[in-house]
Amino acid sequence: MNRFEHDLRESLKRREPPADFADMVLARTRVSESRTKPWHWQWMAAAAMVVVLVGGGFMVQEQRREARRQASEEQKKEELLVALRITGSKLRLVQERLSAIQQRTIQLQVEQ
Amino acid sequence: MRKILLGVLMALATTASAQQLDLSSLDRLADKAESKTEITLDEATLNSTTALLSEKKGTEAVARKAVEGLKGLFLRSYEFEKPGSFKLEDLKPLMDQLKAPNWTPILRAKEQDEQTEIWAHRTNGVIDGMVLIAAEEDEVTVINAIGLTRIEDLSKLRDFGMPGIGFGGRD
Repeated sequence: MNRFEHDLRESLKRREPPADFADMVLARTRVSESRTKPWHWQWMAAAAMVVVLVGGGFMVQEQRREARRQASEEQKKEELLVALRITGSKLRLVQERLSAIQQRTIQLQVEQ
Repeated sequence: MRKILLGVLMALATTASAQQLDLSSLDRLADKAESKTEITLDEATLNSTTALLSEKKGTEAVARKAVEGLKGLFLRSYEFEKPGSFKLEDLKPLMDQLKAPNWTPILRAKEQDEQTEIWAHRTNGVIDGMVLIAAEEDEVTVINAIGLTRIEDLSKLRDFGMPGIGFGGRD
C-alpha cells in the first residue's frame, strides 16, 4: 500500500457523527421551515394592502366628492353675485331714467 | 279644527304667492327680444345660496347684506332691436295683477313711450314685496322683489355691482 492509497482510505473511512448531530439537524430544519413558510405574514401583508387600497380608494372618492361639492357651491355663489350685479345695474338704469324725467319736469315748470 | 288649520295654511300660501307676480305673460316678449336677461331666485334658492356666502369676504359680505330679508327675486329684462317691437299694452296682463287690493303704487312716471312704475305689496299694512317696471319702446325691465320691507332696501340691491361695491372678483 503506497502513501496515496493510505490517504484515500483514511479520507473515506467511516466516522461516527457527533452525539448532538440529530438535534442540530432538527434545529436547522425548524429554522429553515420558519424562513421558507411565513404564511401568516403573507396573509397579513395582503390584508394590509387590501386595507390600504380600499382606504385609499375611499379617500380619493371622498376628495373628489368634496371637490365637486366645493365647485358646485362656488358656482351657485357666482350665479347669485352675477344675478345681483345685473339687478343692481338695471335698478341704476331705472334711477337714471327717473332722474332724467324729474329734471325734465323741473325744466318745464321753470319755463312755464 | 282641521278645516281651520287648512284655511290658515291656504291663507298664508295665498299671501306668500300674492307678492310674486306671474311673469309668464312676458315670455312672448322674450321670443321677439334681441337680448334677454332672466333671473329667477326663489326663497329656497336664495336661502341655500346666501348661507354659502362669507360674512367676512368683501363682495360676499356685501351681497349677504343686499339680500338680507329678501325672499325672492325675479327679473325679466328684454331689449329689442327695432323700436316698436314692444308696446306698453304688452304689459297689460302684468298690470292687471297689480289691480289686486294689496298692491299700491309708490311711483308712476309715464312719458310718451316710456313708463316707470314702482309698486309695493302690503300684508296687514306692512310692505313685504315690491315690483319695479321700466319700459320704453325698445326695452322693458320687470323686477319683482319679495320680502323687501322698505324702499331703501332697493338701494342696497341697486348699489351692488357698482365700482367698489360688490364688484370685486373673489376678494
